[in-house]
Amino acid sequence: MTSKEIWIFAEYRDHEVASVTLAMLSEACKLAKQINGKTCVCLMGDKVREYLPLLQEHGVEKVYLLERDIFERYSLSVYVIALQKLIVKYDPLIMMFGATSYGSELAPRIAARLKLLCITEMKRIWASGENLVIAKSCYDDKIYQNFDFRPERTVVVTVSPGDMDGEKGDRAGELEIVNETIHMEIDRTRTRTLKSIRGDPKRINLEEADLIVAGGKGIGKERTIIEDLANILGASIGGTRPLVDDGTIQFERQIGITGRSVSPKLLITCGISGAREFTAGIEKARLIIAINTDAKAPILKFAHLGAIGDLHKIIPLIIARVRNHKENTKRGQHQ
Amino acid sequence: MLPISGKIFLLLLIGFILYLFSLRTRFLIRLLSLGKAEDRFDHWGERLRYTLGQILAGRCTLRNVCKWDYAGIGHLILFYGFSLFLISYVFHIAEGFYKKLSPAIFGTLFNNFFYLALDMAGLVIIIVIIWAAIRRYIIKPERLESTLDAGIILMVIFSLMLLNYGIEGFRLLTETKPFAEWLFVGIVFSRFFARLGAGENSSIYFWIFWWLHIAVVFGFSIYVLYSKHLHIFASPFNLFFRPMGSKGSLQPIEDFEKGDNLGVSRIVELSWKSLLDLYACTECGRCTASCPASMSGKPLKPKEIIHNLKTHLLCSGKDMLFSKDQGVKEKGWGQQSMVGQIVTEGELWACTTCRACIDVCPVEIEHVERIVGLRRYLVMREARFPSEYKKIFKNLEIFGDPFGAGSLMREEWPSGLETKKAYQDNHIDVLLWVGCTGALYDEKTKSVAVATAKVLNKAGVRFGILGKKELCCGDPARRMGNEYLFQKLATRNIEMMRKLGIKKLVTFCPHCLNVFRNEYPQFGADFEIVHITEMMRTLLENGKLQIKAKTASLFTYHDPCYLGRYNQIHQQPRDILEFVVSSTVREMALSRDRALCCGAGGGNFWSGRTIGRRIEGLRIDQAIETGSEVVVTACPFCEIMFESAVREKGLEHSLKITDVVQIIDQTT
Repeated sequence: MTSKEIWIFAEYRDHEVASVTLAMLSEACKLAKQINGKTCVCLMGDKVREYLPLLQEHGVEKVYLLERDIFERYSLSVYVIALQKLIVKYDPLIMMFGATSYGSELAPRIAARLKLLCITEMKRIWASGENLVIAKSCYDDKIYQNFDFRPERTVVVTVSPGDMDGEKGDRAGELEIVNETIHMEIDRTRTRTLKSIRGDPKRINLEEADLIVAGGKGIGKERTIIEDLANILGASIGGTRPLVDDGTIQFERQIGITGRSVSPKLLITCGISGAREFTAGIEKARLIIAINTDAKAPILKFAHLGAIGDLHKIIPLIIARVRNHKENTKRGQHQ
Repeated sequence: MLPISGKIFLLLLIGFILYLFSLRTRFLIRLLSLGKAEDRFDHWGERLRYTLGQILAGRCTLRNVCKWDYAGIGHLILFYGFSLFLISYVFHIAEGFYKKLSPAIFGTLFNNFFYLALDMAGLVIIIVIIWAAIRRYIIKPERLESTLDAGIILMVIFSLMLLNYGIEGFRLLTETKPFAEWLFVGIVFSRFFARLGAGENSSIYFWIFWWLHIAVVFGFSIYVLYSKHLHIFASPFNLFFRPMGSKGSLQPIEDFEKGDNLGVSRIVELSWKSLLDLYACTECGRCTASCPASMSGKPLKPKEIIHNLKTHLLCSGKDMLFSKDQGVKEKGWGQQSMVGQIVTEGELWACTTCRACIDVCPVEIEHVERIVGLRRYLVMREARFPSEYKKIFKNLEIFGDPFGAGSLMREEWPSGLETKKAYQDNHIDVLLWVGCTGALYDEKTKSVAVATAKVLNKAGVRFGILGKKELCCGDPARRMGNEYLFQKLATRNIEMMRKLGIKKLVTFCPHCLNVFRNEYPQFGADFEIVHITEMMRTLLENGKLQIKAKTASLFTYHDPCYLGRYNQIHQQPRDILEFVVSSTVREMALSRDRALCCGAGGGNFWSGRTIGRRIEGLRIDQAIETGSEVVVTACPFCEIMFESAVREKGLEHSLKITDVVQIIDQTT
């Protein structure tokens, strides 16, 4: 019989907890209330205590803390073995992973090793009597499947980033910390992460970029205007087919029906009218800001925010603002 | 007449030449037998009549004659003239054996007329040959190559004419009585020789020229089998074995389960007819000259593919036949895949399946079937295709449309209109098959669907749509080479129509039209489908649609490939425009069967990186040349491509793209 603990694999980077982790926490808290369970996280790494207050803010009641130098850098085989041992020992009800590059490889491996049920791309989870009901997205969100079952053993699930809203759970009273020292036979681990290199927005695959500045015919022949904007934002550059045709950008940077499909958190389109050939590639963008002189341009049906005007005037204003903000933040940090 | 020794020698020579001829012919035919089996032996009578008509009436060359290319006339003259000479060669050889076997056996009048005709023909042929040489080697039109082969052929024919006149000249000198009365050129030669002082030994010279002539004739007859001139023997057969079915259909793959039939990768996986195509090619280059991919700087040149395949077949032929004789069971008789070596992937994917190459080919070589056969191999056996196509296949498999919009979205476009859903109420006269592009792509294409519905309503046609039950007709999948996916879609569509009891369809998409009309019958379908322009023309003629006011802009009409070349629907849209437009339609330089493709076909609508110019840009340039304000067409893909080209040229305000149906809606 599994315990009533709902576990979440916590991901973090650069002193921030991943938004998918926080989103999963809110869903977990709701479920915990329903079944009178406990919301827990597995926090692995070295010197990760800094994240505990934030996790507690979001409703974590119990932390399984694996703080060791071998966990400092993510390594698939190390993490899998450690989590496997933890799960066997504590037998949680649910083990939740974000469907990130880490979670997507950890979840199925753990499920396979322990012969557990694994449901990917979960949208919602709730209790129905003795049963759990898990709603899973299928076919690019075209239909949802509900799995209604009585859990006999730990259930492994993954959650796509952006699929859940991160409503804060209630802050728990006491945070229970369980320090675990997992015995790892280092030589059994097949890989070791030597170094992590941050992707250069100038060179990463456009389909993986979180921030994109895209240019269209409206930018004219000079790409410097979107380059400047992309640089100050740390964004990648994309564009429409005419820009590729006249050599302004490379083919790898073309967005649209015959180019890439992108899913950035933020997309700024500059001088793009928004023909279907282009918009077919931006359907998964989270937030779209369009800068265009034409108030009737089709892109505005897609954009969440439109700035009607000359991009050659608007973009420098944006750049100046961002630069200002960055300097203030820097000054603020120094103080 | 030759002395006995001469006759014996001639006989041996003839025997030898026949032996060489049959050796090479046997080799060439055996190579054909390596190819896949294909039944082209149906409808003998019809095939024979067609072939004779094409060759004897010269239709195969005349069909290409147009204001910028009248070489076909020269070729026809050459053909008729040389045929006459062939008859003369028979007499020539016969007379060597027995003097009486001359044209005179049919009477003196015949004899005289025969030689008069021969003399005239000789002159004409000389003029044509000189002109051909000037054209090929000095003027150098792009489609012709200045090859050694071509040069040899021209020189041989030229020399045969001169040799013939030489023989005539010396014969007239050496014989007491002229062997024919009206040898007006022969006489000139004989006088010329006399002046040279050759009169004395004219007999010797006669025989020298006579044997020289024989040598060249015999030599040439063997040379032909090793050169591009092979077409004179192969092309009649190629015409005879032409595809008799509908123009627009590609052949299905039978027995997918067997798995050994998934496309073409080695030369022998082509059918024997496809290999015969290679022999029949005259290297005229018209295919490349009319290919939109070639015109826009892409690597595809149809003539090169034929030439490279032919060279490959002939070079590896001996090895393959040897392997076969040895009983080697290896696939392809030891030959490697052609893709990458003989034909590159860039060439294969650049094809828009427009069929201009097939239509313009004098010997009706089937280019598109070959290219798609190779694509099938790449897609189904190697999974090697442009990465952009992966999403299209996935979308077709999962959502039933190439855009991934999903079936429910197909019911969005008629919002506001009262359209029956055929799956709810099948009391309809006809099913409006909307197609994926019309229903799902963008506001422009949806407005064409809306216009179609409105016009049908105005005409009182009881129609319904399938809405969410519609699946892609499968055309993109089949053209891209994913035959498996196509058949899956086809069988599901056909099954669904049967269940709903649908028999008659109308559509505004030529690709859907082509698939339903020409390809679904391959899977047992039995529907009647018309294009909206066919239906509308009839309705306008019968007065079922009343025109309220004609529209008055300057129009040009673009023939979509799948409507025009594939299904011969050129006139109906033009007739409609006559009803609804006050000005006459301005034709582009290339129209009807010669129309230039918009570039979307064959999967290229979704094709990413482009080499060279954009095909749609070329076509819009032609439209601009007509001075029109509006480009009218009848295919949603053409419309999307032209809208894109107009946008890229910044001409949104001066050049409009519209569908025939939209104009009907505006004017009725």
